[in-house]
Amino acid sequence: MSRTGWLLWTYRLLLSLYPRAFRSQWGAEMEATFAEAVAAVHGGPALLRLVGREFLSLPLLALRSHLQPGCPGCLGKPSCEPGWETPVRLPEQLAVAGLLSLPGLGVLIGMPVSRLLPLLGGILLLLLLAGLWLGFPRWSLPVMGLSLSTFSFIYLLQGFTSQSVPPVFSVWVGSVSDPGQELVVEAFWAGLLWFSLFALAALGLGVLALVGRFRQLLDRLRRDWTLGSYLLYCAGMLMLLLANIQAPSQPVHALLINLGLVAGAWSYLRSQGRLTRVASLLAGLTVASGAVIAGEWQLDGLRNLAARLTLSGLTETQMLFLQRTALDWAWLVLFILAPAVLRWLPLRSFVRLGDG
Amino acid sequence: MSSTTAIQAQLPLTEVTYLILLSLAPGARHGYAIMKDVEFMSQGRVVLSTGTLYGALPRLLEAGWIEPADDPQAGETGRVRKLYALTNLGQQVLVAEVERLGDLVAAARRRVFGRGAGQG
Repeated sequence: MSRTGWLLWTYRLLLSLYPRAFRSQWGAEMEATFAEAVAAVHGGPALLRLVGREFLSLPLLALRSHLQPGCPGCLGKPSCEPGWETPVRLPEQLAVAGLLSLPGLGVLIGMPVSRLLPLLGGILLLLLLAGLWLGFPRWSLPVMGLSLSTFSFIYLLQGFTSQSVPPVFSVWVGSVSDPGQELVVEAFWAGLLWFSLFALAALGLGVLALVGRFRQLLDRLRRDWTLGSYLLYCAGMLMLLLANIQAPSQPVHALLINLGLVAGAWSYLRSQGRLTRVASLLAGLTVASGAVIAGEWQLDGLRNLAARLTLSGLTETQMLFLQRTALDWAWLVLFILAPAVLRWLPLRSFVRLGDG
Repeated sequence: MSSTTAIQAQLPLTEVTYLILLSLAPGARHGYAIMKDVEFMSQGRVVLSTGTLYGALPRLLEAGWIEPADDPQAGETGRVRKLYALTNLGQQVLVAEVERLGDLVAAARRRVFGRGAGQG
């Protein structure tokens, strides 16, 4: 690539820091102007000054355009106020990413679960109350998700999950002796765990539907079903994290799992289309699940890595762990995609019950 | 609010805005030409980066002070370059700012070089 080519490539890279809406309207023109400036400059020092001025100013100006009020780059449109359909601005992305990183950071610094949960619960409760006051704006969805996750985990710890299982299932599980059916049992318990989370989320939204104040939230969820997936994704984060951290010696993997999930949520907020939003969530979930498996295998050392990758060298315990992680992944994928199906249900009549 | 009052409320302009509007006063220009002209008018003191220029152009478009214009050379060069021209409102704002700056310079000249120089 020529020198000019490299300069344009770098300029294009820095241009990607700008908001998407701004880039779509002005990016090509900015690039053309920069190319014209590079072509017109004579001499190394002059080129150096031009490049230095451009490359140093772009990141700062890009940050300023993110922080400017209104919709960056959407000139001339009648309503430019940020809403649920407009791109999520950088400060909101950072706030959500920071909030979702709390569980991983807590585990990373060695905070025991018995302290992490109350601390996280306290922070979430405050934010939840703020969200309630404001009618649950978009930024509050991760808070709702994490809150559901925290309460579900407490529910799980108290053993209510197993106690709420109908006796016929308990009898069936107790009678299973065939190794082939053990996978089915694993799938059952994993599904029960995640279903309790899903049911709690549905129950919460059902309660909100009875209050007219939250009608706007439910309308948004109906218009964009991926918001429901986003809420369930954030709800699954804490559960996935705490359910797979067995020992304090895994803080790095806790952070990696958390970062994978945060990256998925971040990518969701930056995505425009519904398919890319859901793909972001699924990608984050997959990366996190991979980190779970990698963490478990690293505890066992890197011996026979090739055999492990082809599953031929796995011990029975490792195979069970892999199966359990895969089941968790599969159930979460199912629940994240569930809103796509549920949107076809006649929920409008249910929502009308909340008319004051 | 009268139009004159509304225009006065926009003043003073930032240096970048003022220079961009001044650059467009003789006629429509495209982005790079605006950058070069601003550097020329300021004798090298103000050098716009593309980020600064394209941070200002959207605001000026939204304010209605400039508007996109057709490029008469588009057919010849084959390149599509966006030109920008002053609107009537932009012309009025520029004139108001020039007058304001002129009043300031005149007051400074009277104090420094003319009657009343040296007095406190």
